[in-house]
Amino acid sequence: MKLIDKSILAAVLVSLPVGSALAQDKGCIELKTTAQTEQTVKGPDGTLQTTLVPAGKVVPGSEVIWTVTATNVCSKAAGDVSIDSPVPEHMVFIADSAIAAAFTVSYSVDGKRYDSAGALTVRDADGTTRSARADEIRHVRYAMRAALAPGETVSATYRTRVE
Amino acid sequence: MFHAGKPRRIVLAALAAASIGAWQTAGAVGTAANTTVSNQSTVSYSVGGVAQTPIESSPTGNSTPGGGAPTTFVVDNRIDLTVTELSGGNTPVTPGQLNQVTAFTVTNTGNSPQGYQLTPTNLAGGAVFGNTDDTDVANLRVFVDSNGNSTYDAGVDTATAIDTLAADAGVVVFIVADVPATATNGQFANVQLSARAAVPGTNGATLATETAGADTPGAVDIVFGDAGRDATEVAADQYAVSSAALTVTKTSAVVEDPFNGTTNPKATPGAFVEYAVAISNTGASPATGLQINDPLPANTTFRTGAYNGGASDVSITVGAGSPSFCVAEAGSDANGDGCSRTASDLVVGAPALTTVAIGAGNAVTVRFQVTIN
Repeated sequence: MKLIDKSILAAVLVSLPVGSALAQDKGCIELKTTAQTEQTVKGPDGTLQTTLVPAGKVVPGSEVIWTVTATNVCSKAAGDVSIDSPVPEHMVFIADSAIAAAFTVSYSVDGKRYDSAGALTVRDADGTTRSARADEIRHVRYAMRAALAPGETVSATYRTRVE
Repeated sequence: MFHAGKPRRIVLAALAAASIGAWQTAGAVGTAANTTVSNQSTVSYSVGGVAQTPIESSPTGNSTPGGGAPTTFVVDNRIDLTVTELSGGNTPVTPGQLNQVTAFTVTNTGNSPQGYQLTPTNLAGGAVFGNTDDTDVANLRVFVDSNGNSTYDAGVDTATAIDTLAADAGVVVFIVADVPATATNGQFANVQLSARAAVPGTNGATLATETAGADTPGAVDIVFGDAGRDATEVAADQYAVSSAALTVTKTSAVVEDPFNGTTNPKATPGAFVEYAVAISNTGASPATGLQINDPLPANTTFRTGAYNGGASDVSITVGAGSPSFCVAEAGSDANGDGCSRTASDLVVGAPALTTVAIGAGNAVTVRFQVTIN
């Protein structure tokens, strides 16, 4: 009897951490980030066409298009939808490259203060304040203007260049 | 003997450091190959006015808070290089010179260490430094600067390919060639160094190949990013042949005859005739080791004591300078002044006559006199 008791106890102890991880409920938004590069191919009619392909053969100087896609997977509308996308390390943001029809886009240098690209400022070492350059932008925030309806999918993109 | 091991280690370290005279510049080539670039977005939202737990993105889509994953790719290997001529001018050489050097710089402007195969060639035609190629050098060889002094050290700089050059590093490469003895003053031999990217560590033997087709996810592909996308760059340099080009003119004048003296002398028997041998150098290098062998004219007798108040036989002037003199003994040059004569020839050489410098103002004139029999 004692042996059986011990084995049951052990099974319970082991299952506890697994159970707690699974206990995390699914959220209402499914978020996907993809990295793509442009590829120019010759179409059947001989014209050059630019298509997006999964990021490959990326070398310094290459442009990468980051697309974030949000889908409401719940039965209720999601409000105050705000997506924060940091500009990856080893990459610089390309000026005016954000395409986000459903969103109001703001930018940040430090990840704390967000503003429109033109209004963003940087304080130099000598204490003077100047407008931030595009390559100093390290965060992009997409704030959805309307609620995300159940089943609705929205996406936004920006471009970066490999340093 | 107890410390024998220590000095040996030091020597080995010094040799390793000297194996390639490369230098490193500030990081301008960009992100190193095989660097993982990672991005993850986060969405915050509310449902029914209640803020929900933010959700992180994944490459395929994630809706579980804490269950996301970054979207990543690996930076590929961009092969890029530059080859430039080092000195900004040509290398002056003289005909017959061996082991003459032109120098180049090969720089790895890609984002990964690379090796290079090096090929020297004679160019045919075309202009370098504004000078058209019209001759070739021989026995072209190529060597890599091993100690970073940008000067070819024979027997020290022995590598004939670049084994491994770090990203953003450069190294000097020499073309070493022999100048044919048949080359002439004013000719130009244009040469070219070609550097072709190779797999690092193969001493230039295994050429790098571009990864064909689609990207290999998670692996470092090779992309040729140089001009022409052939992993090959070239630069030209030049050997400028400069040598002495001598012009010799010989004039004669009757200076005195037994009847008219020095006034309007005529070429009668017994008259003195002065020969002037003028040598000028229109080349680009001084002519050295000069010696004149002048056959004495038939039916004449060499006149001794014609110059220097009767003390000397031959007068030598350089340009407009004052003359120097020598005595042309019959037989051997007993007094060692460089002048002597045989039955048929006058010989004028070192030390009386050695060098003809470049330019008309440095023309050398050798004068001697004969008596008409």
